[in-house]
Amino acid sequence: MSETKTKDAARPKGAGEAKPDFVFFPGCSLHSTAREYHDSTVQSMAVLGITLEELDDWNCCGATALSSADSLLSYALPARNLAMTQERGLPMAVACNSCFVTLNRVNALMETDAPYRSKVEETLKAIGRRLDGPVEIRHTLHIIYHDVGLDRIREKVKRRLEGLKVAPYYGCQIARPRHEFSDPEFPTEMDDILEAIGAEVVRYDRKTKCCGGALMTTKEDVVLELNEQLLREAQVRGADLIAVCCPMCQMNLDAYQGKINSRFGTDYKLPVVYFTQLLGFALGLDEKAMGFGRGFVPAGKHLKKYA
Amino acid sequence: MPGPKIGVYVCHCGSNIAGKVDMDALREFAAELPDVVVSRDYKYMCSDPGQDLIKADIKEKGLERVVVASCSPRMHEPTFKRACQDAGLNPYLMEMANIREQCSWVTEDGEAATQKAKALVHSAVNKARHLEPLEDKTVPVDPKTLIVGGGIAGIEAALKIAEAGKEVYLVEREPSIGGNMAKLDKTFPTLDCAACILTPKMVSVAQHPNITLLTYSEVEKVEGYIGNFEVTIRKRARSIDEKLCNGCGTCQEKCPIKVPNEFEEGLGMRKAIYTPFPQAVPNKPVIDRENCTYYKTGKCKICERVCPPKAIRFDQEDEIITEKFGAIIVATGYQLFDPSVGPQWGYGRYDNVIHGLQFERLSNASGPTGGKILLKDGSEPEAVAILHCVGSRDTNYAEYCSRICCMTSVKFAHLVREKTNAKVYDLYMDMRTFGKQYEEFYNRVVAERDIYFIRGKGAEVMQDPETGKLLVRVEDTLLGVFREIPVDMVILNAAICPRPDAQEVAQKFGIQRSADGFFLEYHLKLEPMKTANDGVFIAGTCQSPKDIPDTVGQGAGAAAEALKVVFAGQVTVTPTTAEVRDTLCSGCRICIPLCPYNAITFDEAKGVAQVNEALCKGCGTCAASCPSGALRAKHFDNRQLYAQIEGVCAE
Amino acid sequence: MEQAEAKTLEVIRQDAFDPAKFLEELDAFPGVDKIKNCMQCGVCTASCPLSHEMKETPRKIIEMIRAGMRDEVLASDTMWYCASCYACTVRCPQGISMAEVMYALRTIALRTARNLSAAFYKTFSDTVRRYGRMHESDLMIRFALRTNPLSLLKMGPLGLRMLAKGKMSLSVPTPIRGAKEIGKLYEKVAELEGGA
Ligand SMILES: Cc1cc2nc3c(=O)[nH]c(=O)nc-3n(C[C@H](O)[C@H](O)[C@H](O)COP(=O)(O)OP(=O)(O)OC[C@H]3O[C@@H](n4cnc5c(N)ncnc54)[C@H](O)[C@@H]3O)c2cc1C
Repeated sequence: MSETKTKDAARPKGAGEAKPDFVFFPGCSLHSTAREYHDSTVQSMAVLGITLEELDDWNCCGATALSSADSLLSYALPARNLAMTQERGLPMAVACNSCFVTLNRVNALMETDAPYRSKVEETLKAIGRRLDGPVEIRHTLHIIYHDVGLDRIREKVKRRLEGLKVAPYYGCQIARPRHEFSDPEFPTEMDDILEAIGAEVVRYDRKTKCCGGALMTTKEDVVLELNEQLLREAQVRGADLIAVCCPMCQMNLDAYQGKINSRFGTDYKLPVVYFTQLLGFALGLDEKAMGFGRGFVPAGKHLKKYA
Repeated sequence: MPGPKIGVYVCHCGSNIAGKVDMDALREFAAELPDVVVSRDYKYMCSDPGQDLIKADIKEKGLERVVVASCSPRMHEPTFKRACQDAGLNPYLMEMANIREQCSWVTEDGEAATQKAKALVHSAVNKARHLEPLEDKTVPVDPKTLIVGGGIAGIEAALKIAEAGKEVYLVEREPSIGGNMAKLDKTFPTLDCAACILTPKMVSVAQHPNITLLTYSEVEKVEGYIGNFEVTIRKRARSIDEKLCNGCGTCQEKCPIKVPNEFEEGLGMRKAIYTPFPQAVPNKPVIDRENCTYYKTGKCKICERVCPPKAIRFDQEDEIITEKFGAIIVATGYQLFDPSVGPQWGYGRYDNVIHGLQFERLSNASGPTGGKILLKDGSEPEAVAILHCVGSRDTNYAEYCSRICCMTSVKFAHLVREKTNAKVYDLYMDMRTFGKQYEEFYNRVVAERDIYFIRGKGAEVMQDPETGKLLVRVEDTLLGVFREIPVDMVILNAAICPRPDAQEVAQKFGIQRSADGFFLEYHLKLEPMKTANDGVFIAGTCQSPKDIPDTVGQGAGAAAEALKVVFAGQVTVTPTTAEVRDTLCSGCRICIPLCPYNAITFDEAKGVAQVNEALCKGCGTCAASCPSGALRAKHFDNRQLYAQIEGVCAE
Repeated sequence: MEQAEAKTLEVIRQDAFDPAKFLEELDAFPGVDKIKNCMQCGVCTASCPLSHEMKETPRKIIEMIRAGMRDEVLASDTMWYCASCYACTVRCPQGISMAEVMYALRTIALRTARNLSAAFYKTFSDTVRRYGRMHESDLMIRFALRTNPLSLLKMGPLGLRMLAKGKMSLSVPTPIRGAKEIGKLYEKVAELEGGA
């Protein structure tokens, strides 16, 4: 089970009972399609001195799919996770953009006095839990940028990814609609982290344009188009690969790249990796452990020279 | 001992008050209060017949106190005071109860409103019983006016006052007067060139014997009060002798240092010694010490060597000027919204996305391209998009309408067509062409070839990474279709915003700001130039976004306000100040640092505090803090306030 | 096509609609407000990556809501194209959360809708109810069975490659320990919503 593995990896050696810094909410994708995001996040953060403790018995946040299906449920489900985080008495770290937006949505409700809030509280009561106001929710990208800081990252780099051209793709749900990041449309945090590990960040104006997300299931034709545009700009700007911070983006751009090529007559071979994979690799972690082999478009040839 | 005879006058204010508050009940309630000998209600108490009711009762019934229950005292306190005075009653024996703004307007519940109105009337009657007669005082007025800001508003005000024969000091921060209007090319709706209509006025300012022009200067401190402001002005060192300099321009030619010219909005360069633009007034350069090689390294001095009249003065120092003024006009103007705040518009990221003032400079014959509308690479655009409401009418930035952008957009569309062969796409939400000859101007331009008006707000500007073309995205809301328009240049009509130092300026001059950040007028409709600080007036775009016609109108209006003060020769100061009862004062001096107006001094000889009644604004801070009860705020003393509180709390 | 056009030309009988009632219905969803303040600027449409696919643009939907055209709004395809990217929401000059409006419209429509999207969201919800977490393979298989079992074949190659990469698993998912809690949560929600 990856759950137990995580905890071990997250705990600094010899730290024993030291309190972790964050409760980590991985979300469903990080336990299935995006296991490399999970592992690279937890391991790089450990190297950078941030310990994560996986939230015990967490449940699916519902994603935006549930916001669409059942409003009350779409608050109640993530609220259970927040309630359990509050019980643990730590802030929450989230790596998946979709979970981030969904959990934050509950927070926004908790800041209001709307009668709807009491409805949500009532559902929690039915399962013997309670949520007392908002919970501090942080995106792991922001934690790395803000709490660790660029200087610290530069210090710890073992392999500078000099000459590697990366298009930083944030996706949409990381900076919107909330504003933890520098800008809801043109955030720069990932750019700065990638630069701190020596990579060359190419201009990428579509950095927060939507990949279509889960609509790949229901509206595949147009969503392929969106992803084609994303790949095109990365290619035109000369990127070797695309760095992402969301499992949904990774899946759409990577797993469907072949389909896009046959649909549009293109020939993209752009690896799509999590920024944490690059970070961990730069910090000296094992290339294999960073899970580069799990992508559909192989990234290996771009990393060879640094290994 | 029977109390004074009190009359109560309840105003319906049409249906404003009567629509909620039960007038009969209120009138009857008041009639029952002790000492009230007459209680009446009337449709409009502020009207002549309303006032006549009060006057008649004072005369016939021998009223000694008057209580008017109506609106906020802000507007009509003077009206009712005058009515009392006309009838022979000291105006300070009148008290108002605000049963409109604080009562009928703030509830849907008529019963609650009536109850509150009763409490307010009761409280006012209680206070009235303890009122004392006070006499207005007059103080002489300094005949000079200070105007701060030399844009078109300040220029207009200065000329009007000077022409009326009164003396003016015009203080401008930049090296030249002219403000934003000096940057414009042609002006709507008549398309006359800004320089042609502005330069003569600027020159008149420089030449008028009644105007002392202080450019490159700023006001540092303002003390005093209406009629007697004491102002400290810092005249920054220009580093030249203005008397010797003949404005020949040789220094600017030879200066080796080039920096971006603020006046050209970043599109052109200037030297370290410079006049910002050819028609500058005064037409004498300044040395920008931050960029001048001499001030940085101690070497160079080329300008000094080449100056024919030997006017360069490297060791010149700032000059501090203190002067007395009777009135002040603040006309500090606006700044443009910085469109890079919203990265979706691409400003700062794409070369050919520019804002309105940058377009004006491109189009201006004395601008960086000599009046040609060119792209960064020097070529002519084939298609141009103009976006309205960039930062305006947007709760993410400025909620208000900037009022000029619809007209500037139409103007830009016309100028682009006049000077290039580009197609023009104008993206608007609403076309607000409200001024005289504005709709006519729009009708003229809309019919021009290759100008396309699209109803929709430009949502974003992207770049096609392959062709480099700018793509403007908009919904054509009348067709209900999404459009992506490829263009070479985008002009963003950025919002008119308060200047970044507005708060500092407001504090300096004792004025307030409205929620939008602009300076707050005394009354939005009826006193747009007055402020809460008597004797300080505002004009132009520092009060709200305006076009030139409205700015000029307000500049002239502010001049009239200032002239009213200085021509009167004296001003009335209200007697509702604090006073010290010497016998009670222990000389502890607690009050002195607390007074926000520096109106209290210590009389060493008597060993007691002393209030300068001309400076005192009657705020009551001292009275509240005085441990021995020696300080008393006249018209708001403890006895009066306690009675008032008892009145509110009765029942 | 011609018919559809003819319909837009039909004279709208305002008394057939009850705008206030529809607005009230939407108002009950948290985050849905200020619809009345919409200036019809179209920034939502022009910010939307998918609006060009919609029959009615998001802006038009708002106007239809204000006109009380409930049936027409719920029958539109607009909300099913929303990818929740929030571009419209952060840019709306009036601070309307269009994404929340779309969620609300979907939720109302789902009570009766029978389209592909509806099937997907229902399947998703069922999966979470069963296991407490989402499982791609389970979700996709159930979704296909619910809609078009033949599509399973089309999905084959990608699915197989996903399996090979360890991105999908065919083992039967294990529910979380608190699965009972999740079940209760669903029940309570149903009770509260039914009672409303
Ligand atoms: C792109 C654009 C195009 C326009 N075109 C037209 C047009 O065609 N027709 C039209 O009618 N209107 C037009 N306008 C509007 C016009 O610019 C304004 O109405 C006018 O300039 C306002 O003048 P003002 O004196 O109020 O402010 P400003 O022009 O801003 O002048 C204020 C002055 O005060 C000075 N100042 C500021 N703070 C201080 C301080 N603390 N101490 C001393 N001095 C200070 C400034 O340096 C400046 O000189 C346009 C505006 C823009 C942005």
